[in-house]
Order: sequence, then C-alpha cells, then structure tokens
Amino acid sequence: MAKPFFMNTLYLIVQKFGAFLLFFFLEIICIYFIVSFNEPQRLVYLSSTNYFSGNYHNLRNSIEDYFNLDKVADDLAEENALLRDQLEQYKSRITVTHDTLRQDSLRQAYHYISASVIKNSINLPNNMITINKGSKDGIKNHMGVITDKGVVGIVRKTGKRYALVMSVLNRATIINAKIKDNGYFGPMVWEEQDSKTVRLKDIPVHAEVEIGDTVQTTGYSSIFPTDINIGVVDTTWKAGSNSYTIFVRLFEDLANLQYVYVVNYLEKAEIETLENELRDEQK
Amino acid sequence: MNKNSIIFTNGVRFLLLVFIQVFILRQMVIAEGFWNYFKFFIYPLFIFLLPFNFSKYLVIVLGFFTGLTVDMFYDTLGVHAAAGTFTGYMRSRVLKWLEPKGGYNVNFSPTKSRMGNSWFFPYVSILLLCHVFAYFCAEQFNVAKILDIIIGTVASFVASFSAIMVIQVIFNPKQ
Repeated sequence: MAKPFFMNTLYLIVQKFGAFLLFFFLEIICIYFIVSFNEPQRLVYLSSTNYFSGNYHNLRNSIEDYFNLDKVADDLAEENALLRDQLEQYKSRITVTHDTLRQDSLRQAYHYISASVIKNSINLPNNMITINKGSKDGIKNHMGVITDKGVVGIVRKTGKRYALVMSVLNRATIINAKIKDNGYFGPMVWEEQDSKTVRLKDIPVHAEVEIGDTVQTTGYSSIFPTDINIGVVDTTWKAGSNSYTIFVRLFEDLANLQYVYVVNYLEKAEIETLENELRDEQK
Repeated sequence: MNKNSIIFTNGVRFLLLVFIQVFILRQMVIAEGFWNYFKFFIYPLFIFLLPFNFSKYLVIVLGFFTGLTVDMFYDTLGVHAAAGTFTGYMRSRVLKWLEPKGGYNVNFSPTKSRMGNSWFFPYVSILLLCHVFAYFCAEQFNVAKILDIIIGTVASFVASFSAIMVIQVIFNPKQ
C-alpha cells in the first residue's frame, strides 16, 4: 500500500516541480561555472563569502566573549587577590627596613580570598550575603569581607563551599571605624532603612569632623586590615552632651555587589589567644 | 512534417544564429562608455522558436546547451548558460500565459508568420526580457550593482529586440 502511494506522490512532485528542479539544478551548474571560470565574478563571490563569513566569525566571537565574561571576571578577581597578597608581602618587607627589631613583620599579615556574590539583599532589617567560597577555600567565621571600594561585612557562617556574610546593612554588625584625618574612632552600626548610609557612633564632640571626611577601618578588631575605606561623612548629629553620631555614606554600593575579597588575618589566632588568656586571668 | 525535418530546421537555425552571434555580433561595439550596455542577443531566438511539442525539460536542457555553446566563444563560461537555462524554463510558462483559446497546433514552431504579430511580439518581448535580465544578473553577479543590471537589461533588450525583428523580417521562417 505504502509504496504505490509513495511512488504516486513522487510522480506528482516531479510532474509539478520537475521543470523547476531541472532549471534549478542547471542554474547551480551555471553558477559553479561562472564562479570557477570568470575572474570578475569569482572576485565578487570571494569577497561576498569573506564578507559573510567574516561577519559570522565576528558575531560568534562577540557572543562567546559575552559568555566568557564570567570566567574572565573570576580570573581577574583571583589575580587581584594574588596581587593584594603580594602587596602585603612587600609592605611587610618595607616595614623591616624601618623597624629592624620586628623580625616577625617579615611575615605576611593578611591573605585575600576572592569570591563572587551569589545572593544578596539590602532591604531587610538584617541583610545577609552569600558568597561562593567556603571552608575548603580557607574561609572561617569572623573574617572580614571587603571590595576594592569599601567594607562589605563579616563572615558569619561557613559551609564547605559557601559562606554567609553578615552585611554592613545588618543590625548585628558592628565594625570599628575611624575618621581618617584625626583618628577618632567608634563603633559603626546600621540602623536606617537606607542601603547607602551607616552610623558612626561615639565620636567625641571635641573631634573636628568635617563633611566629606573619609571614614576607614581601624584594624583594632583583627577582622579588617587597617585603613580600608568605608565611606565619607555625610552629616553629623550631636547625639548627647559629649558625643557625635556621624552619618557615613558608603563607598561601596551594596545593591550591585558582585566580587568581594575575604580577608584572612594571619595573626588573628595569636591575638585571640592573648586576649582569651587575659580574660581567663581576670576571671 | 516529419521528425527529421524538425531536427534539421532547428539544427540549421541553431548553427546560423550562434554563428551570427559569436562571429558578427560579438565583435560589434557601437561606441565606448554608455553604449557598452547595448548588447545584441539573437541566439535566444533559437529557444523561442523550438517546436511546441518539445517537452519543457528538453527546452530547458537545450537552453542550457545553447548558452554554453555561446559561452565557449565569448569565453564567459556559465553566464550565457545561466540566461539560456532561465529562458528555457520560462518558455513553457510564457506559452501557458499566452495560450490562445483553441490551444496551440503542437506540430509547429511559434513563428511570427504562423502566430501573427499580436501574439509573437509579447511572446518574444517577455522571454527576451527574462533572458537579458538573467544575463546581466549573471554577468554582474552582485546585488549592489542592481542599477547596472537594470540599465543593461533595458538597453540590451531594445538592441536585441530590434535585431531579432530584423532577422524575422529577413528570413520569416514558416517553421
């Protein structure tokens, strides 16, 4: 049954389109002849194939580049972390020349681990950030998280491959910060519903604070390195008889955070041991 | 009319038209510049005047080989063949469009003396336009040169149509 039907259809197709197919076939041969044996037409043919294939390759490259951007950015972040590491090493060497007594300062103080943000929020009362590095990459709780622009938060909970970071925009986050120009410091907290502003508290009234002054980390807490930029003084407000509360506009826009560095303070263990010993003695 | 006579008539017509085309008209250049667009094509007349009872496939193949023959002398392999193939393909369609009420007398060729001027002029015009247009498309081979293609088509159509009519008047073939 099937075969006669098929043959019949084929016959109909040939009857209907046979002339066109023959014409088409012969024209293909003609075009082949034209391109093979005629120089002007061959040049046109070659240049148009180049035009089309060239454009095709360009387009493909740009699309592939786009898909590679993630990897490129990862690589760059890794490289940045490496460079920061090296910078720390050089810093310690420079210190040696000034301070020959401190043999220990040959050691690198901070180690940076690059990570990308995979989850972030800015409008909750307690905002958390998830990053794609965890304990297997050397991340531990209470490590600081920064970017090249400013402070991001503190690692709160570490999984094997991911870690939760307590954002600066979290009521539980308290970071020691200071005014760059005069060194007065205080705890920095977030109490607003505004993802760009934090409060720096307990700055004494005799400190001369000007709007636009840079606010930096102190390094006292052994979470963040010293002198990491946080933001600029936006407004000052006299909170009590002898202290200011300063509103600080953050440098880092936490709303579009993508790449961060986790700071591993290599001497933290030693400092903490000392502090714990002291606490135990005082008990 | 017997079969041999048909083949003989068309064979002679083929040789004659191709001979005039490649040995006389090929050398004919009116003037330089704009006049280069005026090209005389008379060999398509061979395709136009093939008998009605030749199958459409045969006409396409004959168109292809006519063009190929001309190409060999013009040293433009494929260009005239592309035009000839197109003309051969279009012939059966144009014949269908122009078919008179009583149909064609399939034993003869569509000559001017048999079909009359009012049928023959549009028939030759449409097919010649197809041929000339296909020729210039194949010659320029570039969409960007559409203006050259159109100018060449119009100019060469005028030239070729005149030449074909002159030949028709001189020989006025019955078959």
